[in-house]
Amino acid sequence: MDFLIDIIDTCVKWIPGWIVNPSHIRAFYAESLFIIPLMPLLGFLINGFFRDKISRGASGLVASLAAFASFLWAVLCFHACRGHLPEFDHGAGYLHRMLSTEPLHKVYGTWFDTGTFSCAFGLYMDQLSGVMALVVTGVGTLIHVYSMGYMAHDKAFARYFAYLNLFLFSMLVLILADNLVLTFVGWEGVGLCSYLLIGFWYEDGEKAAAGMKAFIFNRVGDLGFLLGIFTLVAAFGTANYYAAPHALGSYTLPVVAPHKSFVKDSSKEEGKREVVMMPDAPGLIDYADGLKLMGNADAKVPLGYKADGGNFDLSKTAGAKVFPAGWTVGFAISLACLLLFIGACGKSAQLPLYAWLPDAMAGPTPVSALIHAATMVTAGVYMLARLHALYLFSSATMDVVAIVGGTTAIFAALIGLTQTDIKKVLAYSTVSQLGYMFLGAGVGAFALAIFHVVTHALFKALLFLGSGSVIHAMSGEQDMRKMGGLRKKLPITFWTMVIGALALGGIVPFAGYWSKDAILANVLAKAMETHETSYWVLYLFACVGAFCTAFYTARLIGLTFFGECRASDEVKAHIHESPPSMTVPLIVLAVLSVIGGWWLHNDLISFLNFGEISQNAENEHVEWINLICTLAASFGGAGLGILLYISKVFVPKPEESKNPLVRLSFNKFYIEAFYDRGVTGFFSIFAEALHLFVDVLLIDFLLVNGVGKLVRGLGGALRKTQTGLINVYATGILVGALAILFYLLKG
Amino acid sequence: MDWIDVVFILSGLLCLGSACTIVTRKNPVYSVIFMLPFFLGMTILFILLSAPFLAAMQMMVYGGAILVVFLFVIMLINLRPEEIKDDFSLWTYTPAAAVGGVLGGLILSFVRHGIPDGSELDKNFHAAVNNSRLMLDLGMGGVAPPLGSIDSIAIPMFKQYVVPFELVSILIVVAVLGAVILAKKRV
Amino acid sequence: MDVTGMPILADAGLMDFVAGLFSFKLVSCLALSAAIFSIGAMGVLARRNVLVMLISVEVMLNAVMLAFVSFARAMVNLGPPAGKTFAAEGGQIFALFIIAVAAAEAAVGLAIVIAYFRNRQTVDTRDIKAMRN
Repeated sequence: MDFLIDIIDTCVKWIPGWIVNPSHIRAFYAESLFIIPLMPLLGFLINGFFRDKISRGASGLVASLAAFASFLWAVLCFHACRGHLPEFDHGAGYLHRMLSTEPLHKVYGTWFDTGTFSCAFGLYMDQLSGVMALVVTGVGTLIHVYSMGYMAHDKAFARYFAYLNLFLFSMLVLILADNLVLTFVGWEGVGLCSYLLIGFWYEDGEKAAAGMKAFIFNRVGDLGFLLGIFTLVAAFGTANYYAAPHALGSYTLPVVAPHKSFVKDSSKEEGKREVVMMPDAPGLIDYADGLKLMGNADAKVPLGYKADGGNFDLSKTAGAKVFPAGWTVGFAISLACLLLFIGACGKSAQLPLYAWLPDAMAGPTPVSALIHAATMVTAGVYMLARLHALYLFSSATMDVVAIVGGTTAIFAALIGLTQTDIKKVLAYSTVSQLGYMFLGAGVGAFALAIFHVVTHALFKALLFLGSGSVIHAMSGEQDMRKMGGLRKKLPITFWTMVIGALALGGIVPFAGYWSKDAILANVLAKAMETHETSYWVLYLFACVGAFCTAFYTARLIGLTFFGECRASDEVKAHIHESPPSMTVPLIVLAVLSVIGGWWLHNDLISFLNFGEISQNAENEHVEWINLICTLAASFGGAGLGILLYISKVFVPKPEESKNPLVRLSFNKFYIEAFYDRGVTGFFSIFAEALHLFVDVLLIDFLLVNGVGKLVRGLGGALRKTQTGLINVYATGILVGALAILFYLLKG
Repeated sequence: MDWIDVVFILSGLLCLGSACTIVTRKNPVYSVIFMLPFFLGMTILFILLSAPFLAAMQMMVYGGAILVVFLFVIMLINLRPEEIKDDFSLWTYTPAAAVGGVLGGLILSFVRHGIPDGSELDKNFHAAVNNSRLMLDLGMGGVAPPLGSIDSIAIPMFKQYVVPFELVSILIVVAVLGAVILAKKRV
Repeated sequence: MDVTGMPILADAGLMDFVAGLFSFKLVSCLALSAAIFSIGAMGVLARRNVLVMLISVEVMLNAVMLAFVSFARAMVNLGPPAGKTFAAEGGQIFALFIIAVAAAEAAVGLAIVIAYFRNRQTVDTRDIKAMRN
């Protein structure tokens, strides 16, 4: 990372350095943050409005250039906001924001202002959103280039790129927004684009249905997200993450001065507790930091939440009209975090809202790589990391996050063991890896979760693009049992996918190892610190999940590339290596997958200096135990996979298997069957009942037709009074005037 | 009985009589022609009520323009007397007379009980009447412009009432344009 | 004030009131205005000829002008009510506005009459009932 930054440093600082003041450069980049999302938006508009006018080549070029321009600008802005004192105190959000980094923050204007609550159009780039923006635009650019090859034969070429650019735009809004409401706009935007792209081939009913499934699952989560925003707004009166930039000027550090909204009687307690002065219009993170610093130990904590300092009664604050008496800030934060986590579950395909992601593979493969592996599904992790100060405040929610993440990690890995569709395997693998990210976030290692997001984006995009290359070569065939022996015919795809598989399997020193190992180390350290059984179980889950991951990855490689080719002759004749526009992104991603983890692991974690990375995890003791466990799991799984599927190729037939465990895994633990029969069935009956009683009887018969008939009858009767004679109307007017005159004179 | 009362009664009777003639003639040409004595009576009344400028306007605009336009339209339409349908019928006149009577009665009753003799308005009216005998020859003498002179109308019209004034001018423009468009052939 | 409750005809002072109308004063001017207005209204209601109806409307407007001018005369030496400002000439100015509006009304009304006559060869409201039922 350093040499890249140094190069950019030299370029950026040297050229304008003798023209303008360096602080003006920062201001310039803050002003121009909007360019990052603007570029894909322009691409979308061009491709969307002129999709019949521009040629296929131009359409792909415009989209890719838009993504690349966005990437370049993100690099420049990222450089401008990078931190200078990475080892500064963790957790004290705006304190270290002032000292160690200089985030770019620009409020472009007010979106809406409702008196007590106002929401701005503002963009914010710090380390976190900078890293995410780089991943999104960087991987996004590669996938745009790849798509130009992959979609070359598709008739709706421009529409595809328009959607892809719209997705990039929405994702960048999600990432760069400086408040939760604007983030929600991006959140919904990526959901929409996901829906549009999953159902991209909408002539196929199944694919269109997969799009709708994704949309509906996301809606469930989004409702939680929205309620979470409402809760936070009700409790704090703001949805901004941080204070607006102009409010930052008034800091003086360190200060002992109680903030008026959180200290009931400031005069009595002023001397006792250390309080940090709040900025004029604090954001959510500022509030959380303030609360944390002024917490007192003997607080009465309601409902079992360890909410230090959050025992302030909400009926004394802005939320008095919303919250029942006795609710505390800590409880409100816990509630909001839990609700927001439901949204994250929907977007990031965690249990129990994971079922849409495997179906989302109906979309074009580059879409699966970009949206359903690298970027959109990590939005939930990003949101958690963005609000880490709030999550750290509520340990119960953190436990929920960890449990959901760990369970999803092993659950999806187990399903992945028996899938035969190459993309389905990768989809369950994505769900599983997202589970690891949430597990990491749940134990407080937000930086590691983001690190895993980055590495996962690299190698999972690589694997998806590789599988896309395979599918492209196999004329659309996705079943691994009909592949085999492709390593000779697709050498580049083969080698890059092997690298991706090694990274996913967690083999040293590929990218996946570094992030997964660090997350597991933190889980282990947490288990050792807390001595809670649940964390030991989660660690066990994570290790078994790692074993399964390595196994199914080896299985995927073995079934696809080794043994004899099992395809039909017709398909066989057609197998060819993909064009350069597809292989070049593969190679770039493969290189990054090799070196990315090693290259980034120290820098990025210390750079993303937030969250509570367990000090215990640095303990040699913990490190060695964890190293042995993870390596045993990875190499064991990989070895078993190689034994079964590479050295002698075994073609699985899971649907005919008598083994109940295989059946359970192949049928996805019957959870989707439950969704299909139970939930959908219930709602079908409910909807049918509503249709009969409300729609047919009440609305159609009584309201619509009834009112219609009534009006018609009345009109027919009153029609007779319309003689058409002006004089009669004039008489009416005058008699009415007389009546009014009479009434007025009488009164 | 003062001479001014005589003039008032005569002009009032002229108005009433010509108004009755206007609404009862079968041929609209007579109606229009009887508008002339009606406006004449109104003009005399306005002069009596110390509104000489208004009287002049009444004569010019009503007698000179509106009346001519009506006459013009009647000529244009050119209904021959035998084509004009008789529109007198008890079915129409009885309710109309009833409504008109009740309306007039109500206003009269209101006027009678609302403004009794010797009330402030009444006294003031008479005071003004006494002044106006001298002011029949316009604005001789007084410092303040007397009621109804051009000065006394123009100043408030362009100060207090300038917005309604402008609105009325817009209304007239719109009405003229509308009339032109409506009356054009092949609308 | 309750004026309508009183019987109009069977009133002891009625004859005095009527006799008083034959002199130049505010009440008699207003009574004349009311009478002309009623006659005009009757014309509008009873006549079937659109032209005569329009002329009757002019008569009504003249009656209103008369009332305005009479009140302007009666107001001339009275100050405005508390909190209000007005010029005593307001009545006359309003009458001028009425002239303007009447001119506009006549122009549009007659244009409509001409347009209608050109299409249907009639100005009789008994024949103008396309809006019937």
